[in-house]
Amino acid sequence: MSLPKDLLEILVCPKCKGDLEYRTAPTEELVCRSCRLRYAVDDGIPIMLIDEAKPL
Amino acid sequence: MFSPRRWARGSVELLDDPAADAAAVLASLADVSRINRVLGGRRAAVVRLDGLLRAERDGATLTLLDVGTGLGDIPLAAARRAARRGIALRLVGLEHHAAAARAAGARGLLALVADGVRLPFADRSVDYVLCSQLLHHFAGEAAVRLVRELDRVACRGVVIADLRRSALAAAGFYLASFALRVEPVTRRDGVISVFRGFRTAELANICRAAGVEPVMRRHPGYRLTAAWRPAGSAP
Repeated sequence: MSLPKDLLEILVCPKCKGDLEYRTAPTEELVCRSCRLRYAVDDGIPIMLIDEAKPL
Repeated sequence: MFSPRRWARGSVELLDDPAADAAAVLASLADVSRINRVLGGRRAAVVRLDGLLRAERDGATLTLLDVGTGLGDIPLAAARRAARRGIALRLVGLEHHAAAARAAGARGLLALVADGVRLPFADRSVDYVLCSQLLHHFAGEAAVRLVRELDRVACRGVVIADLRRSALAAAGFYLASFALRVEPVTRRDGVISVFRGFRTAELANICRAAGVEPVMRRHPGYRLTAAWRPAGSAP
């Protein structure tokens, strides 16, 4: 798990402010089930931009 | 009649462009870091945050979120100063530019890419929020939304540090930029930034429109800070 626990504890979806699910396989990403969006984690940096999120 | 403020508001700075070339962004941010160190930007932000940290107990570990962190130099300076008070700051750096976020991450910050007006943090999830030299990149309702977001995620204190608008400051920066050997684009953008800066009452009014009552302070180098404790916060 590359993202630190204390960062994961405070991160939410920028769109709905809901909880995120952290996935490490097949690709590392943060998933918002409510918005059905996947936020990429690029070299340990979460990309929390709605415009760059991919559909679930 | 020519209005420098209107000209600045209608101009686009390199750092306003999310698609700007990564190398150019990093070069510009290195310039900004040097300018802040020499011309008072770093000191204003760090001193103001230090004022809030005085109320914290010795030995505390607190989270500091820096919105628009650039290369992370200001939160790192804040952490060094806090350490002298016996306070450990866990630094989270938020940037719109991925290259800058990576650079801040390499310097030890928990870094992420996000939009300031859509912060990906839970309500009251970080102790302190710092927003230095970023607000002038936003206008109108977007500026109010940014301040509202800063207040939403902080549980102990918020500091906004920015530029105080002044023709004298713009002229002074322009001349100093040659001595500081900054990139030409940084020189142009710095002048735009000064004219996008605020009068004390303007910054206070943006905060009030966002629902917070700041304590305003002027600092050397035509710097301005607004600070407040979020509603219901400790200490």
